[in-house]
Amino acid sequence: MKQVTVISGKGGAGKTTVTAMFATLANAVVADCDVDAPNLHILLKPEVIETIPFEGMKKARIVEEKCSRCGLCEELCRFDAIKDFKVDEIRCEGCGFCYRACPEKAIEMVAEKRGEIYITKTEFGDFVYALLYPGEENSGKLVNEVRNIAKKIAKENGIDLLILDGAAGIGCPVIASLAGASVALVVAEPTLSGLNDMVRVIELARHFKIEPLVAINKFDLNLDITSKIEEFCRSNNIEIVGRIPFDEDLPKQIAQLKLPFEGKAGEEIIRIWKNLEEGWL
Amino acid sequence: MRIAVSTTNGGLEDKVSEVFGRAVSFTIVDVENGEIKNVEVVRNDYAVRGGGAGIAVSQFLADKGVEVVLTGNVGPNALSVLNSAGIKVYRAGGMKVREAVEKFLKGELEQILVPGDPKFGRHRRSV
Amino acid sequence: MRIAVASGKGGTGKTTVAVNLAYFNGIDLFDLDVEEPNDHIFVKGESREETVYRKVPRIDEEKCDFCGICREVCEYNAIVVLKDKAYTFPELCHSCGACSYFCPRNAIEEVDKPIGKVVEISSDIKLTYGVLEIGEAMPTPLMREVKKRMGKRAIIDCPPGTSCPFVESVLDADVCILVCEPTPFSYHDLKLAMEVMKKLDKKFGVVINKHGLPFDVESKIQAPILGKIPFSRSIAEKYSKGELLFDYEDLFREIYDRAVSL
Repeated sequence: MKQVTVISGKGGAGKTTVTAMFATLANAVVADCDVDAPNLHILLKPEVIETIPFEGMKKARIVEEKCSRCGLCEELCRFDAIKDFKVDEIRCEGCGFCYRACPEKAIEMVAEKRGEIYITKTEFGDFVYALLYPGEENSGKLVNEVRNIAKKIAKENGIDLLILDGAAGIGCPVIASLAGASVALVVAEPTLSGLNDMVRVIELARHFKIEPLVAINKFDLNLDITSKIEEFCRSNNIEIVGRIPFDEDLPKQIAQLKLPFEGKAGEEIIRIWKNLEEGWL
Repeated sequence: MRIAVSTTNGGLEDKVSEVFGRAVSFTIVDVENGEIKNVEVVRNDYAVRGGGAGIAVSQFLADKGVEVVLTGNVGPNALSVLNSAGIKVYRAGGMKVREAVEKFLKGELEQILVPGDPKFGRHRRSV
Repeated sequence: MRIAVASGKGGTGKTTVAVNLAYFNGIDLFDLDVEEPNDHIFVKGESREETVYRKVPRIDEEKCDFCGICREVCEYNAIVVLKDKAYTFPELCHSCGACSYFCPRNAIEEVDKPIGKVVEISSDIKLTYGVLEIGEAMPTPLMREVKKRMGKRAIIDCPPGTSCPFVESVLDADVCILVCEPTPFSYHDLKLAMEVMKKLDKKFGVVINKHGLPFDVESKIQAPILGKIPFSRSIAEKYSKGELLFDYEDLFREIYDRAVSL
């Protein structure tokens, strides 16, 4: 099974735009692993076939009938999550300290649905995405489940390629989206923060022995930083697979949810995909 | 010698799982005189936890007397725990379990060595 | 009155709104995006720094008998106990204090771990922000330290996303301003942020930034619109150079007045 994970470090660099275009070109199962505010489904317009609940971390709940109101839990809680013998679910971090310390065993740890996974079909093929409920903790667990489901669908349908829209940043959600990748496509934004984030996410990909490839998005908006990106890639033996020009017509196409994208940005993304297919997949 | 292989369905004919901490199961193989004497499949209950799944699994395998781990990829934290426990880790992604064990016994697998300091946290970061 | 400026999607213009709102209304500014603080690019002046710590466990291996209770009570897998070794992963630790409390041998001490620094800038307004140390997984403890320095009047620049750092940043606000740009992605994330507002029972209004981009959000937004900042190259340029938007001073006073009367 081959897998392309599209990452960036910096949010807003253009991962989702690029992944959406790839989805129109490839015979693959696509998954959106950016589970905190997912966006890819907006462009792919999926028809939901199945919804699977996601259970996240357990949180504390005080059983009123057993509580002797000794107040020990409120004293011990470091997160100000217990007041008047009730647990504030939003502040509770699920550490279980109160649950273990309560002399009456009046506290239970409760797992609740903290998100949903959607198995869908789109005009371009099978697509899996998820939504982590707002306010929840984002460890790699939900991302991992999305990826496993996408893999299963691919196997069932004789498809041997997965394309994942990865999360921003370099934390656990990104690591989970990189697991099993043959290629990590790093979408780089030519700004100082973008360059900084790109360097860190490349380090992450390399640690997992996944060869990173770079595509510079809106490269002509800042040629100075674009050349810094090129310099970094050169000195680190990283191949640049494309330079997508800023296309002022693209926001309009995105606004109209028109896929596949046309124009100079769209054409360059097509070229990048063909490049990937021939060279790495 | 006790060898643990990260797997999904488990067993000698299954493929080695690409992930370690959140692998669905581990296939534990006891080898004596170069021959596979016993095979046990254990479900990985630590896969469902939040962060640090690899750390928890590593201790679980250490408690079980595992001396060698064969897997696709392993994170820096889990790797350091395995190393502290004296467990050696080898790269075996893309192979069937039986093949991975045989290649390991012939010394054909690449050992995964200690990385640098763990840098990566669990939340989304963009620094 | 504490006003939080948030968005859901990154890159929509929270910092633009927060910084200009604070400056033109003479209110102290708090940048709670401790992973990627940016407000200090716009507010320059004399700075004062303070390192911030949180508590993490240190195991005294002489007192420890490797019973493993600490490992059992740790929900975050931050403690490793093997046959003859016990150590911790401070970056996974949530500083809950359970391990040292339950250790039967009193072998666990809580020690300070630096998580970053709080910086105060004195200028025409005061800016307080946090810089999270690289390798530190959780922004929330540092965010709480920055919040401790907040008085009754404040403008809060929030981190992006809709998960727990965003929630932490709006918890103590009286009113929220959600910044939206006219794109389908931003509108989608705005709706998620609005759900959090309802869950937390917070009053909020919307500011449309880059008004003029070709996607209609104005007619779709079911919330009071506090102001619209036009999509203009000169605004983008000033932002990229770290400059305030003096040409729009009146607009930012209006937005403030409307936010306060929500």
